Formats: sequence, C-alpha cells, structure tokens
Amino acid sequence: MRSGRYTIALLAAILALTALPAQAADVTEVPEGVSTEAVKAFRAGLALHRDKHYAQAIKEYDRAIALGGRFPEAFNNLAYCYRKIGQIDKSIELYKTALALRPTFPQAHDYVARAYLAKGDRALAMRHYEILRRLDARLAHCLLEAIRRGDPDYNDMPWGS
Amino acid sequence: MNGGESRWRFTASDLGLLGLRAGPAMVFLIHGALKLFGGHFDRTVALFMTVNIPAPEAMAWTVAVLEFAGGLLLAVGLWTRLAAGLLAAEMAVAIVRVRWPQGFVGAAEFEVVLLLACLALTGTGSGRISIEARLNLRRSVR
Repeated sequence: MRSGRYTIALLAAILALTALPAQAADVTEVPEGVSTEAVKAFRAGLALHRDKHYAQAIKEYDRAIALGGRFPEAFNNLAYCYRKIGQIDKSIELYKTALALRPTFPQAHDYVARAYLAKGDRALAMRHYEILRRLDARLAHCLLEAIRRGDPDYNDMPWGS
Repeated sequence: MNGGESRWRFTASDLGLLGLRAGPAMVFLIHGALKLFGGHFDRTVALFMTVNIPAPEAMAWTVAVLEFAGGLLLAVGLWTRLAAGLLAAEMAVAIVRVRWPQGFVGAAEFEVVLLLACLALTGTGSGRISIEARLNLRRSVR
C-alpha cells in the first residue's frame, strides 16, 4: 500500500508545519530590508520614547519613515507618541496606517482602541477589542478593563507587555 | 486517442503543468491546514474584521476549507480548473483588500504570483499527470 504510506507522510508533513509558531509582533523590532539610516532613526526614537520625550521621539520616528522605514512598528510608535501628547486624531490616522501595513498587529489594535476611547467612541474601541481578543487574549483583557473603566490610560503599556 | 501510448508517456508540457500545480498546491494546502488545524483561524477572522470583510467568521471558514481542499485538488489534479479559478478569486480579493496598501516588494508579490499561477491553471487544466487525465483515459478506453 505505497499510496497509503505517501498519504500518511504528506499528512504528517502538513501537521508538522501547522505546529510552527505564529509570527511574533513587537513594537521594538525592525523588519528586514529597512535601510540602516532608517533603523538608526527608529532606535533613536525608541530611546526618547522610553524616556517619555514624546515630542522629540516624534521627530526621530518621522525621520525613520522619511528615510524609507515604512514599517508598521514605526507608524504604531509614532501614533503612540502623538496620543500621549494629546493629538488623538493624528494618532488614529497613524494607527490606521500601521494596521493597513499589518492588519494583525495586536498592539496597534490595543492602542487605537484606547485612542477611540479617549475620543469617547466606545463602540469603535469595542470593535478593536473584538479583533484583539482573537490575536492576543492577555492584551485584550487589559483593554477590556480600560474600556469598562472608561479610562484609556488604564493598563496602557508602551511596549505592549 | 491511443490509450497505451498516452497512459505512460508524458511530454515536457505535462511535467511543466505538474510543477505549476505543485507550487500553489503546497502553499494553499499548508495555509488551509494552518487555518483549520494549526491555530491560525482566529488570526484569519481578526484579519478579515480589520479589512472589513463581511461575515468574517463565515468567510474565514470558507477560505480555510477552500485553501485546504483546493490545494489538495491541485496536488492530485482533480477538478483543477474549478479549484484554480476559486483560488485565483481568493487571491484577487487578498491583493485588493489586504496586500495592495502594503506595496509590491515583500508584500503583494507573493499573492500576485499565486494569482497568475492559478489563472494559468484555470486556462490549461491539470495536464496528463493527474487523476483527471486518468479518469478521462478510462472513459475514452471504454
């Protein structure tokens, strides 16, 4: 029963491949193929961001994007900084860009939900919660608590963990 | 048709068509299996919700089954035109709704290749190295 053996081997190969872990998303990571200059600017932005110098971090993230670093982490972090300095509409637009570049980016869903919550749009915040709970249950749990409390800053973690 | 001759002798075109089927078959079969059995189903629903695909959960089931069954059909060469046509339609939607805003290099290029391969198979069919050809051969011999 040679064909039976081939079928079992094929199914075993498929099952082995399905066991591969899903791609991790981290807002501090830079994808491959981004220019060295853009990476430098992004890293400089991260350092300022970590120290809560949001206005200066914005300049570095903007520079990273202008240098060709059109990757979702750059837009997500830039949006985060704009949100933290109170420019909510601008941050929402940037989160939308991050999500267009990577629709399954958990942190961007978390943060854009908080931006909508800050604007008082609970319905859109819940919509992104519904998406997030399928991507990252722990982040979604924290977001839901923020939505329940009506406090966008509750459990707002800058690096998503 | 000369049954004995066409049963065992394959042309370079048949081998080419087998190769053309094998690539997309492997990709769709694995991605379908990941969605159905590998824990990628929720991720697919989340993706569909983000890009505003209607009835995301039902569509995710549809796509998962289509990719798994379609990949299997392409691999064995059965109902190849139908399977390739449906998979081509899926790729067209994926390109327009998901990949296009991400650019071509490193993003839409993969789906474009799959789309073109599936469109080609929709036109050519499976070739002689396939179950389809075997079934046709039996019918013609009868």
